[in-house]
Amino acid sequence: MLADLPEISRAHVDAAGLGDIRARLDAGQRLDFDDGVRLFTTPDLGALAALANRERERRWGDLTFFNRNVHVNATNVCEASCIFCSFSRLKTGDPSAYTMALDEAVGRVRALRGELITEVHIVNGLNPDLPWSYYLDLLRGIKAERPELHIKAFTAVEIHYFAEKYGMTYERVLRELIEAGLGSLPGGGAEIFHPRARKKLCDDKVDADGWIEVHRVAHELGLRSNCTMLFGSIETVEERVDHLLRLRALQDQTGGFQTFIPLRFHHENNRLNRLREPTAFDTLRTFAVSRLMLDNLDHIKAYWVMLGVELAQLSLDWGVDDIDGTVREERIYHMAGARTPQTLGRAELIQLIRDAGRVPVERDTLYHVVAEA
Amino acid sequence: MNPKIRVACVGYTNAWPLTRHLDPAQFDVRACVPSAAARLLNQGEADVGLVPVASVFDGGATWRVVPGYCIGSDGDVDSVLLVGERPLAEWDEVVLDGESRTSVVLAQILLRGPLARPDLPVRAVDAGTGAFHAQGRVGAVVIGDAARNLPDRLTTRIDLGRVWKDWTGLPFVFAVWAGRPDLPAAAITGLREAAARGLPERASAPAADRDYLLRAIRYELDDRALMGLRRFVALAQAAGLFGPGELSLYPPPAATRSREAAEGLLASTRRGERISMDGALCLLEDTPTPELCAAADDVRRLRLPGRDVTYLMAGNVRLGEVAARGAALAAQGAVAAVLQAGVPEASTLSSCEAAIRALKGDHGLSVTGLGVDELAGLALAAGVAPEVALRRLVDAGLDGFGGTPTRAGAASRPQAQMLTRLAGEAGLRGPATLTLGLGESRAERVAHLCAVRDAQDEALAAGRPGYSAFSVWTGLAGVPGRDDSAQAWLRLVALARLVLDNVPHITAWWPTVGLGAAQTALFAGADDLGPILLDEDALGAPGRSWTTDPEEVEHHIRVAGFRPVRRDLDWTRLVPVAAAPDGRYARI
Repeated sequence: MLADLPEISRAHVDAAGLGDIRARLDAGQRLDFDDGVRLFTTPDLGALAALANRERERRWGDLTFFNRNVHVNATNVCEASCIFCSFSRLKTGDPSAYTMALDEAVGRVRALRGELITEVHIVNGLNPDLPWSYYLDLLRGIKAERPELHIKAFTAVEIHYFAEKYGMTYERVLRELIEAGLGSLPGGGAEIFHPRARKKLCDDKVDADGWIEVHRVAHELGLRSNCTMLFGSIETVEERVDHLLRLRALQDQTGGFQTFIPLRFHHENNRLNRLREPTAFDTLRTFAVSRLMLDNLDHIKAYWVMLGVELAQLSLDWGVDDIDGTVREERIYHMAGARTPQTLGRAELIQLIRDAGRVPVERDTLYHVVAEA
Repeated sequence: MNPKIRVACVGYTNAWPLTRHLDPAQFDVRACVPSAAARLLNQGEADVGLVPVASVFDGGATWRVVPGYCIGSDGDVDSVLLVGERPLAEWDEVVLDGESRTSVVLAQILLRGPLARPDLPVRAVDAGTGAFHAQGRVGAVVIGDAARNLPDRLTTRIDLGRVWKDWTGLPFVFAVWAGRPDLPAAAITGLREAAARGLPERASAPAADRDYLLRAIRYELDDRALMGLRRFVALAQAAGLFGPGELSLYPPPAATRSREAAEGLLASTRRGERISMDGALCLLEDTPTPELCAAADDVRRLRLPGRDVTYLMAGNVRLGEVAARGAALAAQGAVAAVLQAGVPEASTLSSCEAAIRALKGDHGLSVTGLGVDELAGLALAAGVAPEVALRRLVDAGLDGFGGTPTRAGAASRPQAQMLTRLAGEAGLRGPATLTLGLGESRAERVAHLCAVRDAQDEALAAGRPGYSAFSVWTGLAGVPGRDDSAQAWLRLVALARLVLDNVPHITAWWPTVGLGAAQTALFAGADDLGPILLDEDALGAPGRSWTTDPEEVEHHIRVAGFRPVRRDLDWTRLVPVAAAPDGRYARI
């Protein structure tokens, strides 16, 4: 049983026609597909805050997590042709295409010597011109430079690409990467699982079953991972709920997901630039519904680089308990038109969380507390 | 078990909202006349007392004052009067009823000041006998319940609360909770909670007292009241009527307020009951954002049913670019020009008059933008009284009032009140605003809201139009740690909807927090998105999302489930002219 909602909120939620869902949540029962669709279509953003905030505070109270990391995007050359992407360049010869030499990529980490970061986050394009050893050497090089750093690297899409390109099983790919220093998998590349939307968005990359399978194998090998959903492009509400339920089903089996990160669609410099970006309304409701549907995931993260400071702060009342890190050199969202600053210092992140009325906690990748600010 | 806190307090009618809910398990209450309460405190026979302000200084100011509540007034107090059978000018003596030294000192200060009888001899008489002594050419100070039940022969009745207010522009504080310096925090909390529970019950007081308790007595010891109190103490000390020393307050027990109290307050607010200043502060400190927003949303739906959300097309116009900007704004679909007077010179007032005529006559724009500070500056530079400057601008056609200063507390300045009143008398409406992040405390934010509410009550009672809307500005300071985040902004928007039960519209003013936050505020009591400022160099901070595109604004309103409605400065709704190919809008 959950703590009862405050009377004001209970009446508000019930007046919004969500009384039966509220009662199921009160009783600790799981929500189903139809509940998810109804939550995604309620016009009452306030009712969603009341419900999602209770779930958030039941798990974490006011605690709000952040970490300090550096992003390395070693190459933007990519064989995939996802229409929402502003980052990838198809060919090596493209004027804005780049591939870092190993030493340059490792140099990104070396340059931060002495800075108290805990994580390196690596996501790349699917580059047809690189040898398998490039990735292993990249991990080894970073580990040699900063052995204490946790490396969270390669989305399931990349793992799948490596397996196909270099002729290995998912397990073999992951075992070799772990051997070289891999610590966990980021959650990218999930986009929207449903075949209708996926065919339109990213027909030529790994399908839902492949993405899920990579994470299953990773969890079985003892890796933790994150998961994501790209929302606000061409998907339907039903496809969002379907996506959440597929993630919930794998989590029931493995328990290996740490964090769910809804990724907001940005429209500049890509082929969907005629679509409007999701507004705060759709963004906050997606966070809230995610918190309510994913009852077996610990954390919901709002990537502040994607949202801007104001919306990231507001999201903490719509189910979010993590606002990611002090990112060094983020490229993917900024090439899609994100206007947020590239980095926020640790003190600024702490202030941002405190100003939102919450308690900041610095974590490492696996959610060990580094420091309660 | 801790010994009970010994409380000495007056048994007057005006004290019961503060005392009736004192928990007998915590407090041992003794009722007495004010001077006796002070004596018990001085002799160590009471730990805390509801005592006249004068008593605090009689003991060398060693007592401290409980923050939050007092017995005060903000205009007519009804129960502290100078009375006589003949007009004041004919008196040759005043007797001072010894029952309350504070009222006696107030009478002496006012006789020397605004009442202009500095040499009138005074004589002390026994407590409670003032009205008896007031005969012929002898006047008297009478206080308390006696002042509210005077014999008919006393035809001169001068309300000292009113005289003080007209003289200083400030509330007057007659009595405070004061106690020994080491009073436990739990006792302070207990006193405040008793007040928070007692004050709402004024509405159910006997009919004879209800108006007095609700209107004449002001129970909030807020920043304005403290300002009045400090002014009075300084005057009394300068006149040698008070001993030396400074006013010292106990720290407010912020952490001890309870969730339950906040929930009770929200429920009563939703029922349409007016929330006290301390209640509002309690909500701001203790209520989670979702709950605060839900309550504000409920109140907004009750008061403004329907799904309409308004916005205004407007642009800033500086003097000197009136012709070009006026034409450009009209072409962009603006209906209002916000006139920027800049740093005023002697000729600026005439330039403003000309600009208003041109913007209206040549371009069909409504004109607003000149607020209290601008008016005062224009008048000063032109060498005329502010009311003269205002009259000239109104005659030139000024449509809206720029409003009161936005810094917490500034709306209570006498000049701001005066100009706001004059603008209202001229039929001008404008918004009231609060800017977050200028170093103000949460208590000061709440006090600002309550001052706006008081001013609105006064305006509406006097038949003036009053404030059209309230908005909260934030993110202008650029200083970290100023509690001016998007969350702080959203919470203040919601609180404004709950507190300002007499202001029709709450504007989500978004240039600095972004359209997304404003869209969220539509679920927290806001019903208006304010102006889309059609300026290239609008004041959105770098990196903020800023749009001058009405399509984008309407999209945000629509996807949130509301209906966008364009409005004019005076809140007239505008509709697209179906036949006009240039997308013109017309007043309904």
